[in-house]
Amino acid sequence: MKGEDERLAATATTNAAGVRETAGLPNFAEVVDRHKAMVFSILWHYLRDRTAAEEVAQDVFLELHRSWDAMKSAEHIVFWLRRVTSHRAIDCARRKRLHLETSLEATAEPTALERVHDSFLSSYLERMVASLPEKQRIVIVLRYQEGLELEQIADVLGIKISTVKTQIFRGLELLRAKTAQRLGRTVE
Amino acid sequence: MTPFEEQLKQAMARREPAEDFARRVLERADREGGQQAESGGRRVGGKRVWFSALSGWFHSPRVLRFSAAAALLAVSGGVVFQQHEQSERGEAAKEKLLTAVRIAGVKLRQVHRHVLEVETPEVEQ
Amino acid sequence: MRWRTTAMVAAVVMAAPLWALDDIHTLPSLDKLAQRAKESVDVTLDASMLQLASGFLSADDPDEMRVKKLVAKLKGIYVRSLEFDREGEYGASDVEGVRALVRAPGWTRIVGVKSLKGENSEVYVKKEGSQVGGIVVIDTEPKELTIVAIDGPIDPEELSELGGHLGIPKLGRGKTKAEKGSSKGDQ
Repeated sequence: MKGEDERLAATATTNAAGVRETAGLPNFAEVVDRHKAMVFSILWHYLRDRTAAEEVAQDVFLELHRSWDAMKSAEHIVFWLRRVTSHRAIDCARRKRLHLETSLEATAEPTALERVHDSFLSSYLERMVASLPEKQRIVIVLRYQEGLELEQIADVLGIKISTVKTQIFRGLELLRAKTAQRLGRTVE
Repeated sequence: MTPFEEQLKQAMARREPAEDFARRVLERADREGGQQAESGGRRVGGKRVWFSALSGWFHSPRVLRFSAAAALLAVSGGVVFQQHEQSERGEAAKEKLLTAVRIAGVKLRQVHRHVLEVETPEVEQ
Repeated sequence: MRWRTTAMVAAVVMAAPLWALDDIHTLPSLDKLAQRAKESVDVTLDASMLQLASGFLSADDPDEMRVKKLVAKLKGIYVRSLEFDREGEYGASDVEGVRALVRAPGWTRIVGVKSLKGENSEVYVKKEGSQVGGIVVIDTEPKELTIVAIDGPIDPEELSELGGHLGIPKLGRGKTKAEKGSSKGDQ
């Protein structure tokens, strides 16, 4: 790894904004364009507040801009973005004391409607995810929005794989139970 | 993956931020890059010389603005929270509206179908 | 003379509408039914809530824009939909409160349909000149009761245009009994 860092440093130049551009790394503007949906969506699904999600997403990319020197590869950038975004989402929710972790009965609209159109179930599930406890919420978002494996989620959040497994299991159980209760049918 | 997990994956599909999001990020990044230059700090081998960095930091427009920003923080925090609450209420109201329109549309459809199909229609003008 | 004045005032007060369409969401009989229902949908959106909701409809979503256009001038939308585990959980008297609301002047029943399966549907409209100033749909099924009340100028055609969108089935013209009979004869 050290050898690779030296090789990358040797090929670096500094652009007009004072950000080092390393051969093999995309430029900052490309990174923003390519990954803005990922960053925004993690925040949206966690916070359920579009304004807050966009604000924090901007802060994440500016942090990346300040930390550009430390970026080693395109994959490293993605990992870094997921990690920082996840932590910022948790921090933002705590700071604002968002009462998302309320009783699911309080957040859910009774849904005889799901029988009319299955797509309504998607928005219902989105809202239910946003009302999960903090740890379950972030692992569910990383698993089902980003499609990450358990080991990857553990790396991003800096927690044990066993913890990831437990939180996903509990999160899914809670979502299944509440969905089944509302729909009045068994959910596989 | 179970069918429920597939449904959950569908629900968790990525969304795009506002159209001008990238432009705003790049503008702010450019401004920050300019502010770094103004601060007087020098990069030497990737590290700032600590005394010139410190001097630059004290004279940084950012530091001067920080004091004013801190005073506004308490007020703006309340405003942001109110905006969040308004956003939550609005989204909930929107869901209810779509629910109501769907049910109304379905029921009117059913009535129309009944008029066409049932044994004893009584269609009045 | 005083008793005459009092009687006249009382007569005027009693003649004035003592109800409004938004009373649907406060009918005690429906609240009692909701407690027995397996599932219930209760939507109450007055003018201010409609405005709030409308502001959050997405300009990028054509369906939501259709809804925005539909509700632009409405004063309220009220929906009570109740689903029961068993038949016989409610009766005609439970719905009488709603029917009383639409027996007021200005309301006309335009459709009353009964089916052999026990599904009955009634549609009432409030005429205001040449426009429709409100719609009430009362749909009763053995295990389900739905009441929809829309207060304000609405174009039923626009509501129909939502067919195929928002999960509302498109209106496919089903065969009438006469058509079914003639097709059998052709065989």
